[in-house]
Amino acid sequence: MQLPEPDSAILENRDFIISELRQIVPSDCVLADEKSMSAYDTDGLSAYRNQPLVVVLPETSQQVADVMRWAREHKVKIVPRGAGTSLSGGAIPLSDGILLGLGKFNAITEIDYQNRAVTAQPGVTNLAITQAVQDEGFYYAPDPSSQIACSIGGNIAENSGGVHCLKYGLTTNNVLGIEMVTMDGDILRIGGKHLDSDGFDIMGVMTGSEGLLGVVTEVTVRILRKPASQRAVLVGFDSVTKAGEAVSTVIASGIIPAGMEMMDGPAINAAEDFVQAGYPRDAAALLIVELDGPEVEVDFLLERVSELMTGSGATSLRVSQSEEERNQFWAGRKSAFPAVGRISPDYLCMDGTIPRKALPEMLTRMASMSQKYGLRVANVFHAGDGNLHPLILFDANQPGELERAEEFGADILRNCVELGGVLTGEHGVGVEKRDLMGEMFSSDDLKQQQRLKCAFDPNHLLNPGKVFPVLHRCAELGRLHVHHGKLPHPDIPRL
Amino acid sequence: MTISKPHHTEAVTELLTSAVETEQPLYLSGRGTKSAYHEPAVSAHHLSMSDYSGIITYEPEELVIDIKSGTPLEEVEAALAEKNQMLAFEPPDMRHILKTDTKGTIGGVMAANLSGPRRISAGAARDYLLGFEAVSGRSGLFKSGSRVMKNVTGYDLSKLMCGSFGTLAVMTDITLKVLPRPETEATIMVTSSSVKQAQQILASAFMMATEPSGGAIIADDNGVHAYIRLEGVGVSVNDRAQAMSSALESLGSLQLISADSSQQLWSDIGSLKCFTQSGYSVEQGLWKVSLTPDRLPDFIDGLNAQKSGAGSSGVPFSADWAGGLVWLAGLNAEQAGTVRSVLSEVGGGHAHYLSSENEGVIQPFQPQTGAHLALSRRIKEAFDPLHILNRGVMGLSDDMYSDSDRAPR
Repeated sequence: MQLPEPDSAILENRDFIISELRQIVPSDCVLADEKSMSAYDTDGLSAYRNQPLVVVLPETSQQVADVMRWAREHKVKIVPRGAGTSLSGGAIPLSDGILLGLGKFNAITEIDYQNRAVTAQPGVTNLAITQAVQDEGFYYAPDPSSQIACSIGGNIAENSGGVHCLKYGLTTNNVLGIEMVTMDGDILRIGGKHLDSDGFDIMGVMTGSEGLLGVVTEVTVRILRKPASQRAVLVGFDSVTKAGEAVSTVIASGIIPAGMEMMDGPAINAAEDFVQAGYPRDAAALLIVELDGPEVEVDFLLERVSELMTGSGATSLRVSQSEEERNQFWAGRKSAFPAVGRISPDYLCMDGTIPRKALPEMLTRMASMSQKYGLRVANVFHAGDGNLHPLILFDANQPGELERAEEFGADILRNCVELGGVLTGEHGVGVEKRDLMGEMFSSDDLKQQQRLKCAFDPNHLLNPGKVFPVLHRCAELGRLHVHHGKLPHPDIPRL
Repeated sequence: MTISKPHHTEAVTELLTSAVETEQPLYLSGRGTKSAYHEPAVSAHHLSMSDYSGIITYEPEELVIDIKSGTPLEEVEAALAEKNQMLAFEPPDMRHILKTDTKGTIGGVMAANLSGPRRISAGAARDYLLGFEAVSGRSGLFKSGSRVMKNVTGYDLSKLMCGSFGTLAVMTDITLKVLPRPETEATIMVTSSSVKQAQQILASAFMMATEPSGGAIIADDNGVHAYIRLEGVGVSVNDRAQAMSSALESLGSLQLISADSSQQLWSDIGSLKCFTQSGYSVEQGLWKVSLTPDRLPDFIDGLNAQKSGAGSSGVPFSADWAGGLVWLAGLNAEQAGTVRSVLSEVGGGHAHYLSSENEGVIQPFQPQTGAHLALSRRIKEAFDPLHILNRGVMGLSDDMYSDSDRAPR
């Protein structure tokens, strides 16, 4: 993984840049010494570190706008950062770029129950939004597993998901409005508490743009009434194929559960060792199916789901009888990552999505890849929506193992694409999967995406080196190639 | 106007290549049923996708369908119904109000981002476009998104295509997420005497843990009716209807509408039957206004105050999306200033004008200004630098071409 070659002219100008920035934002909002900047060296992809040119922590949208306008004028790059929990390296700094931290934007500015909306600054954590409204019986639906730490602004940048996506959608389906600052230093307000846009859906394309199109300075999200009840069923199978078929049967029957998670044998045992969640250790696959809604509905559907599971060959089945038991079912799944961390010095977490029907084939291929690379793998899987999280176990202290693990991971993602899926379901491309983009998209596809980038940021100053493997100059991308008089298919009617 | 109706993607690419070479703009449509939504395109050539039609693959257990963009909406809905599934965003049937023969194509529904009553709980059309293939205004074939439910690989261009009214690219193949149809439904109607009360009833209903999937307000001679729809399995619908009835009964006179009538009712709400049965249609002008739900009463009051000189019984309206969407009938282009200024006074949103003779009198789309407009134009040009596709639509090239250049409808 390589970042763009730093611009030596910018590096040489560092003192000037710092003094200029100190004129734009209060002096204590600029961190320039190595020690204070070290907290910003990396994000959730901690295998990679890089020291930023300087860290700026603005306090107002206007300051963000002023910094960006200045950076544009002086051709200095900007890397935006929320809480720094990106698992794909979206917030990894550039040596010749300003690290723009939104950590001081940490206030919830409005709670509006009448219109079921919360407006928050981008540094507010995902969980803090739910906590602010839960006493009134509301919550914010997307629940990435980092929700205690990740920021809502980062959620917009990455279009974060969670275990309840199948029923409640990703971030993009739950945002109503944003305030954003463009690379020109303009502050735009897109959307609000009303629905849809009467013009291009700029908010829609900003969501999941990984900090390459603009910096979000305020967010309005839809909150939902907490369901009256939630119950889960824990089901064991003697093969992942049967478990996968059971998932399809549930969906085909017309039931969309709030969550439907799968773990394979290695993940079940790691989790069981770690938290004693009561998982069946002999099962080859485990499903957790959660239903939410009015009590009568949950009870009724749980019975149906249980019948379908039994019919699909379940070897064990337990329905949660209390809130405590439901939480216990989830405890193992939610601690799967640290549990795997205990059985291996290091692990890589992958994030491909496949069509659900391809699951057995994918797991067969994964087993043979595991042999080929000589590395173990444990699987947790958002089974309802086909989002796969293989955890590749390795030891970074063994020479060559990190590289082998990365190659294994890339191979898994290539296979996801081959089976009709995608490189990333919720973690983003960042630097981690940047060089694999060509597996999924043609060069024409990528160029069209980059033309959009040029509409927002013609000089590639915002978070360059992320998402796209090759940076084309905007002037080159804008050129039209027409081959006069050389059209194929002469039989097709012409204008 | 000459017309081309390509049968395959290569033909679309060829048409675009030729258009780019000669710098001739194209009027892009499906079956042309959405023309009331936008300015007439500046063009002498019509590219209709209506012959590029058919379902490519449909996998009910994966909740995914691939469709050619020119496929009639009726055909898509019938195929899904056969497997007990649906387009959850509930595209409304606008044939009567817009005076069109058909519901149009699936590509047209997506390009206009049209959603019906369930938008409030299930999301908009744009939330269901998983991926697509298209030919840009540069004549380049490209794809975006995928066929899986959960995908964040690259920019989400699906969102841009929805609501772009054919100004960016010609969508050829589209992939949609579909959902199971609810087993049954019921509606609670609460009648009160003011829009303010009705809006309060909807707000209360949507703050309960009863998962309503529709919230509309329609006024008639008997009062102002708030409608709340509940969908799901039978035991659940009954249970929630009971809970909601006891919570709302003090707020007005209450009536429970059972499954079949409920289904018809919401179809009527989506298709604006309350207007068509009073003789209104797009011919007198129609406004589609999106606003913060609890500002609806102030918005209606504000409009009526402005219209007080006319001495009539108030502006005919039909509200949906828990109050966040309001349609206005009988207000023509001359009222644009009033509609948009009252909307702005009550907190903003957007007001879209639909008309059968949108001859560039006013901008149908909510006007954009400054940096927002400049960004929209740069986005347009990232896909279509020569303004080949639907030139003049969405107010993106108005200053480049005079209205007299526009083709007649």
